[in-house]
Amino acid sequence: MNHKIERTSIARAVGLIGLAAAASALPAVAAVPVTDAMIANDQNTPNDVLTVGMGFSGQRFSTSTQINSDTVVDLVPAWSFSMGGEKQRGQETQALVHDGKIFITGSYSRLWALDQKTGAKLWSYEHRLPEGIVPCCDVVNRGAALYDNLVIFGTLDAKLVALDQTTGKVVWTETIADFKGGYSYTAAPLIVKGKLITGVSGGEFGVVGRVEARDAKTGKMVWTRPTVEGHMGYLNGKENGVSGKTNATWPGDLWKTGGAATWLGCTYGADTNQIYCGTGNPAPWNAFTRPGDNLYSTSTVAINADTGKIEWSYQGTPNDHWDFDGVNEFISFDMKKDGKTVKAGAKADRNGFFYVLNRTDGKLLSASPFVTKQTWASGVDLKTGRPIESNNRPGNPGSGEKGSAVFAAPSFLGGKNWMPMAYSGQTGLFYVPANEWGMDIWNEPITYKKGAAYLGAGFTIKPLYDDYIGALRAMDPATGKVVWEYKNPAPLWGGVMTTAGNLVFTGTPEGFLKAFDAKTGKELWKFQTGSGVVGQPTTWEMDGEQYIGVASGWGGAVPLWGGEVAKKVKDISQGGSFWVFKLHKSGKATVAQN
Amino acid sequence: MSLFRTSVRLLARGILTVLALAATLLTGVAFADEGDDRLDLVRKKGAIEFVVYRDFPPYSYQVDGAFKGVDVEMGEALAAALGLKATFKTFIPGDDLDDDLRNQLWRGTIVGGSVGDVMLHVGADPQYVARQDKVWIFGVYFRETVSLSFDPKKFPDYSVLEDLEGKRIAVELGSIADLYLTNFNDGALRQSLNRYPTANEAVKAFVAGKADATIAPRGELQGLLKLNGENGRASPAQTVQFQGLFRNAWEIGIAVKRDSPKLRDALADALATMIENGQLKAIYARHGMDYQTPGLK
Repeated sequence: MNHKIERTSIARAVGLIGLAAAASALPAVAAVPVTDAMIANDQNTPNDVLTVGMGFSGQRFSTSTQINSDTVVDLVPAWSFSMGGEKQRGQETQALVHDGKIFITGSYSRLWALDQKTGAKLWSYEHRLPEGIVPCCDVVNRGAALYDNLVIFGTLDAKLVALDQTTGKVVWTETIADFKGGYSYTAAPLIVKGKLITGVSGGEFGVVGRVEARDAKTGKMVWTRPTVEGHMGYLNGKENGVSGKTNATWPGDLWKTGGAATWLGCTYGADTNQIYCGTGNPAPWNAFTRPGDNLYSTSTVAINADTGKIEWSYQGTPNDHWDFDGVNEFISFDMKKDGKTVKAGAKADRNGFFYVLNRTDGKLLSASPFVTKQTWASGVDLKTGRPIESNNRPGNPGSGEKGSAVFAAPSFLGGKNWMPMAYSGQTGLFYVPANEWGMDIWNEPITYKKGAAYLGAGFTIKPLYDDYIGALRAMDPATGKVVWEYKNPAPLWGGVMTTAGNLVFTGTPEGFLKAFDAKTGKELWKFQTGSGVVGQPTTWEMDGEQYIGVASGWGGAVPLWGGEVAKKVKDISQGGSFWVFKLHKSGKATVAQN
Repeated sequence: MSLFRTSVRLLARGILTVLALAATLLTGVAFADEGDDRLDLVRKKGAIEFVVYRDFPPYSYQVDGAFKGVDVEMGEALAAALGLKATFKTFIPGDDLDDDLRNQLWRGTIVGGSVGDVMLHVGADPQYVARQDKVWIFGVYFRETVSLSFDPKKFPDYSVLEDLEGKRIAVELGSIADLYLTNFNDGALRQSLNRYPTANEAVKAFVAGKADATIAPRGELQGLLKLNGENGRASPAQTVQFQGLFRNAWEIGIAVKRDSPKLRDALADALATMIENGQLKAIYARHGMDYQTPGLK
């Protein structure tokens, strides 16, 4: 991790400048501007959280140690903020902390700025959503981005909104895509060298995935890179080469509408200057209609941050037929193996494989199951990088046979869904929020679209085990082995964070924020937040104390699609609040005074 | 995003039931003063709201804000038969009909949330109808059959799908014709298909000579050919046969929420009269469409 050590001194310096400015500007109006240098060093500056993912690489690792495996038993609430209103749906945000403010997003495209000391609301922004929008999954938002004096987030009607951090006033808005075509936006944007990086979330037909880079200060487009081969990319308004080679892995004109939506956003490798984005499943759903690998669907794509060109890609599920939407985050880390340090990156895919790639060229280093059952493939050929399939595809609906159901695992909701894993350089382990479920899948002939019959896919989700669905697993990337696991009755749907205090934090639908020993997996602490936790925990330090923050509010895709699983979560109360914790100090008030 | 999401929702019976219970409780309270059936409600208002698909010629579309199309005229006629004024609300279709019924009739969308009184142009396969527990699907009034129109100059002889090889065929993206033909004969027609975002765009391309043939449900095809000023070059619509699990014909009905059996019965009576006295047939004819009696093959 040489590059990291090199950057630490810069980080400290920048951090100090930032603090000095904050102190002197306290009564003033203008916020301390967030710079590229500050963002680049986010992971090493415990006083702020400037990025969703807690750093460019998305490791969700904090260097803070005050709250640790010895002291965590004394973790108590400092304050809680209610998001209010009737809009209590899934709260999947991660807080950002900067210049005395905490920024959180909420369901229905809302954003709040809170006083970092007291939790008091400074301002709020409620995006006016057009009536009749039909977001696919839930009305969630996964966090904002900070740059300069701006806080920027995406909305359910597929817009980007940049607000002044101090006043909450709109500075600019841009449209990502037309919501009438089924587009929306829920991921947290990524800032790379002054550019705002976003993907697209779209409906079933006519969507082509792409990654876009805008000037973060103005919203003006810099480059766009489609993630389906055959489509032209653009740089500063000029043609910048097509992605891949037209028709190389798609028949006919299906590439024109190929899917591969980039709906979960991207991470960045500072040393490779590559933006890593996961891509969704290809369209149409029936794989028999599109023989070929259908690039770059269900892949990780590495895009040069300056040129907007694809430098490598790795595909987890070629010619996907199970909806193994491969959008999951790709986390850069330096892997120590056989005495060497490898520039690696890891992704826990919907399809149940934990992939470790060389992040400079995308070469597959290992692929290990992080779930107990994979019916669709028996492994991955390390030479070719391709899955070894086990004849688990649904029948061809055109062949005249009545399509019989196939049981496949993982289910389309994935061995892991959107919820991000974490990596600790201290333990060398990844902490993966996994789920154990499978699905019956069949061709469904009796359904309609705009009054016309069409052929859909039918699914029933089934838990694999009676006693648990969720499993938080510590994976050793060097061996591909599961080092420890924690089993949870309901499916896990929240993000994971790990700290230098030998801790791993994650939330459960049952309402708990939990802390585990990072080395052993022993559960050390839990707190009932009152609603299901599907948010992303984060941590920061202020005035010599370490704080933990997490959003509580049940929702997301599980209650919408869970099938049998829905029974396990039907009694969970809705909610919408942001909880902040710190260590109890004897003799001192732990509740902040307004 | 997930291509499978709707079907899954459809099959997630558990959660549908939970939602439905909540919806039932809510409406039960809201309507307690108004009477239990939407028929009473619309009588009080003097108007009945039809939810129709947005930008869906020849069935429902808007020109300079005014509602046009077969479904619109049918709604107006149904309202008149009940002594009511017809109002219309358009909506963006969800991934499939389950979404539409939930968003437009029994629960409302996540944002906005209001529901209409009646939905037209609802697929009415008996098995599909039987598995509904939140809405009534009834009043089956039309039969759609996937059909082809071709340019006789390019097609001296069309009888089977194999004849389409090497031709340019315009279809709506994701339609049953698109799915079937893409899959047909190990992909023999894959290079021939030109996909358009809507059936209207596909028919427009055909009328403009950019395609040698176009395939769509018969009513839609005929109505769109007329709307786009087809000048007599195109062949009459011919039925296209499918094999395997693909359906080439289906019935269309109307739907109301399950809490309103009186509204259902009143609309069913009015509709039966319109079919019997030829009023419905005349509406279809005005739009260049042959009225296909349901059930006839």
